[in-house]
Amino acid sequence: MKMFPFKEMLEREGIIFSFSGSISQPVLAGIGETIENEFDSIDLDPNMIMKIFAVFTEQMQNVMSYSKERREHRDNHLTSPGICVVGMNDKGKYYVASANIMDVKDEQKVSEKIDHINSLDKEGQKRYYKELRRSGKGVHNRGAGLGFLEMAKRASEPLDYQFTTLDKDRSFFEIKVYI
Amino acid sequence: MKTLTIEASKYTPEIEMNAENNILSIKGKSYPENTFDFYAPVMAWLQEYFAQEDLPKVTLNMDIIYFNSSSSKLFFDLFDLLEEAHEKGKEICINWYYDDENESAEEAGEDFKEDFEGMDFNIIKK
Repeated sequence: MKMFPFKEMLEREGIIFSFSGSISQPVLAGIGETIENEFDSIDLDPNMIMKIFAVFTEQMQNVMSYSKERREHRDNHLTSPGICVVGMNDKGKYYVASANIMDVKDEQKVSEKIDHINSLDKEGQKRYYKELRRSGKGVHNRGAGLGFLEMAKRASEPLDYQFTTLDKDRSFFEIKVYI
Repeated sequence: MKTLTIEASKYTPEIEMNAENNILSIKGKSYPENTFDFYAPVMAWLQEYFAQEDLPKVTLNMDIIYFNSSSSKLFFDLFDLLEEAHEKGKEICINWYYDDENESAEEAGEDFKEDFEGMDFNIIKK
């Protein structure tokens, strides 16, 4: 492994933070705090920092809850391998991206969910969010099924996602959210 | 009833459900990974608390800097529990505090207020 080409790629993509490895709540809290402090030190608008932090948190908790490679620990704690990145594109727009392995069976459900969110305008997304929150239709033992909507609320562009099929059981899921 | 106190952590708020002065408060950040597990004692406490007869006026102070989507659902359910108590005649006041700089906390408060129109729900700038 040569680090220099890796560094060049990070620079080319405008990557400010990157992490690949086991994602857990303490990792999320640690990186989240680092992101907040770093952006605060360059006097980025606190509302922008909050948006980046919120999207990052939803993505990391999605990886922990929905990855096919997640592992259960005591007291309903989960960890899962995943990748997360915070960067800025060449037009000066911040983005938050993440990736993990999903079950092929979940591909359609996730695609439909995100496509539906992307088809709505901001008002529609807000109504859908409130409707889901009220009905509790997306609720499971760790979440409310509101994560993608929460990201969309903070996004300035449609949620950009992709599945790459690895084999008959596994699919590589990636999502990129422009703030 | 005994007062319920939970200390803040990096990703969970400071909670005090005070049965002496009838002031309930949740203050800080809320993004646990197991939101429903984390708040289960709080919800259980509230259920028992509101089952009491002859409660004086109850105030809930919410001062939340940031919360994740599962906490959003949890807070909805918590307000729902309060609304039910309110409909049974309990006098309840909800104060939602936000920092002037924190647009999303202000918006979130307004969204909850819309959902609980029948309640005494105040959005207060700190």
